[in-house]
Amino acid sequence: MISTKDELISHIDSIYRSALYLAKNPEDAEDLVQETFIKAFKFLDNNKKIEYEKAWLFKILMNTFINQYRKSKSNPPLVDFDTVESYHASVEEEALNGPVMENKEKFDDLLDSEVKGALEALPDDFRIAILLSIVEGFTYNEISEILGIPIGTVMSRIYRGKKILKEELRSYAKGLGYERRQE
Amino acid sequence: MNCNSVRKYFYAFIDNELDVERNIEILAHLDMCYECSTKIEIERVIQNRVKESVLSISAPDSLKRSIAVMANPRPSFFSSLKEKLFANGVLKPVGAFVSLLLIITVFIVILSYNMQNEAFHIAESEYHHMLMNDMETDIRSKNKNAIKGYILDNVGLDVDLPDFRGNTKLIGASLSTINDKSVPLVYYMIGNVPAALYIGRDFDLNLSKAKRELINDMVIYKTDGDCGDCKIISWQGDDNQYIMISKINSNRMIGVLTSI
Repeated sequence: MISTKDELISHIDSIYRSALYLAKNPEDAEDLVQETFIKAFKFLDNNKKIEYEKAWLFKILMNTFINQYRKSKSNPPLVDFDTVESYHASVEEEALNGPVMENKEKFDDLLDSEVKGALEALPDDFRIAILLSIVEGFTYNEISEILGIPIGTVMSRIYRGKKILKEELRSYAKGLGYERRQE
Repeated sequence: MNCNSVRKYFYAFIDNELDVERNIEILAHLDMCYECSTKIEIERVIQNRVKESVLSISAPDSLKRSIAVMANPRPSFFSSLKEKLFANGVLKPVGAFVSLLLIITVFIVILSYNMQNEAFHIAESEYHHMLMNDMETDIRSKNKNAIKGYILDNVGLDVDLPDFRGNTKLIGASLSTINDKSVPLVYYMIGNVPAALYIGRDFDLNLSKAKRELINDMVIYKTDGDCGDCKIISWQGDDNQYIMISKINSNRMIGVLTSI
């Protein structure tokens, strides 16, 4: 089935919110979205066929971000995964083994700004995997396709990413998010 | 399965990525382990909260509009005309002829329209030029005959300079060019506002949009300058056409003219 431009445009909100979490500011996000759609429309104009347009659009978005944006702009360097792991290991250990019975309502009451802060604190690769999985509902297989990485890597990024995200949000839920960030 | 190994699969379980066998194992464990089922419930709450928060963001309307424009670029007049005319093979020669005819007509209309208004444009821009250059004229004189002599010597035109009443003074004159022909511009001060009088023949003015007024058996055309500040009046003398430009309103300009 050949997708029409209107069908592609129907995904603009999804593409924009992911772009916003990739670029971390609205101006760059808009540039990313525009570039993504320019490339997509050009492809359509050449009458090429697309299998699953939402995943395909995300693939263009990710490639645009990784190839042009992340290289050219002076973004903060990627966080070393091992450091992140050891930083969170102790907390996670405690969370896993301790009889911590938290009140789930606390997580429900988190502010949008707190969720945003926690997501933005994640390393790029983890954040991308989390957004594709939790927010956009792609399967691990589709994410592997979109990002062009093996499915094992997808699983490990999602696992680690969600663990870190939970700890970030837990600290917000306890009202500690701001203080911990200051340390 | 013990709690630790079950928790390793928490996320894959929530994401529905486990094979049937492992799924059943996890479900069985959750059924009997209160702690694990509470923990997985919290994971679900967190994921839902994150999902809900991010989904509340939508693309700005301005971005949506610009993407929509990119998707459907409006075809230009000529390309859509071409598309329509050439859609049917039989129409090809007819289409070519009609579009050629149309292009020529449009070209002539635009050209003649511009030519007809060229005198107004040049007169107005000369007026601005004069204002900016602090009345730098080729000849400075309050004497009507001196100005007439200057115009006769330089352009070969015997012009009839109109008389003005009230607080209007002659300042001087300079030369301007239209269609490679020298055309005189005479400058006045009406009170403390400068006015320029453009005198010539065959201006071929397009006066369809000008307001027509009959004063002392004389037809006077009134129009606005391009700058939005200036007023232009024009009339036909015995031999020459006159165009007067000033920042004062056109009725006042007409009011100070007595000889027409």
